[in-house]
Amino acid sequence: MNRTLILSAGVVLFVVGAAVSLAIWMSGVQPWGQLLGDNFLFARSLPFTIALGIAFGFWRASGWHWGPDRRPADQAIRRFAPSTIWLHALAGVALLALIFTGGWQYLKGLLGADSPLYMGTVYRIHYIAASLLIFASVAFVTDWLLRNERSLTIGKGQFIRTMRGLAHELPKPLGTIIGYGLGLDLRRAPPPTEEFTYYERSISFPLWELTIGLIILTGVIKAMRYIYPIPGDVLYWISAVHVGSGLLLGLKLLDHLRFVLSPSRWPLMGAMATGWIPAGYVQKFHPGWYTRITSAPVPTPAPVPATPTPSTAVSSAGGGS
Amino acid sequence: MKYLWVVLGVLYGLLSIYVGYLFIQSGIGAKLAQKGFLLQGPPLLGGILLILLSLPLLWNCVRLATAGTPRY
Repeated sequence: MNRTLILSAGVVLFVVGAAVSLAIWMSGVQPWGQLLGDNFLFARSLPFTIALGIAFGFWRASGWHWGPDRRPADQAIRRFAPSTIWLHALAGVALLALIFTGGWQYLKGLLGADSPLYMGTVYRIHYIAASLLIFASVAFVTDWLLRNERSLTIGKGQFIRTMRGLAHELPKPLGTIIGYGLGLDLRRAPPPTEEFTYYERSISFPLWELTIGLIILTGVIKAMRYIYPIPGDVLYWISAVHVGSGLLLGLKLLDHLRFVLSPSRWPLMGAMATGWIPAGYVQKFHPGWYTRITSAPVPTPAPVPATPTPSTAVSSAGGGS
Repeated sequence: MKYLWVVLGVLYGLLSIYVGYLFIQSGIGAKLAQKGFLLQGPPLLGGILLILLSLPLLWNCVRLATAGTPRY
């Protein structure tokens, strides 16, 4: 009940905040064109977008009941909760729109070419996509912090173990360099892979955090420049970092697609769309996670159904993130 | 669905290569040459990286399109 009230308050605040800003913009009191008007609208909506993200993250975390349960029909394992799938898709669409519109702005300046599209429209799409990405990122971060969700991080005291796993996952020359540099014994068997691979936990996800964090921080500062005066020199460097992190995001997306579009990892793509992953795949490629799921105590079964395959639901940190 | 993702991956890879080419062209172009290495470096380096990182994606798309789907 409380969680729904808080989410409702977040939605109402967002709608009221956006409506007031829109009313000022449409009243004609200020002599703003589309570009400046959109900038003000975006900058003023930011606190409400962030608040809505926090409220949604709280709502998600406080009602969390997803564990790595098994689908009775084929014993597939739940990897992602439905809201994770939607938030990931929202962040993905927003990120693509941001890369395309941001790249368009940068290339226009770089090539000194005329844009066939009205730049006000390009900026408008950029601001809408930025709002969506900020909402999704804040919701995810709030949810993970409240649930202490750490399956995508290295974990306390796990650095050497993670590096050993990473060295085994990477192509041999790269893995050998890491092993030699950190003094790892690569003759030992690699540690079993958990819910996420060692590459995802030590390289891929931290890079997402860095690039998305940088792009949001610098983008917000840039958007606020007409509300709070920012010295020109500072703004120059903020803009440079924003462009640089935009380029890094484009590179990171290439790497992410390269990772998930590999034939051996295709079932992971299916899991990101449906939430379910075949048990055989988990057993083969994520043995640590599989052992944890299968060895966890099964809760008291519900009244026996007509079919003899009850769904086993186990509670496990990080499951169905 | 697999082939749709292959097409999307190939399109994104090819577009990245084209954008990388444009970055490199501007990086070595006359306009930025007057402004010094600090402004020339990012598009030049970024363009090279965009092209380099597109290649494994394109390769994986080809592999995904031609490989059979294993049953688990």
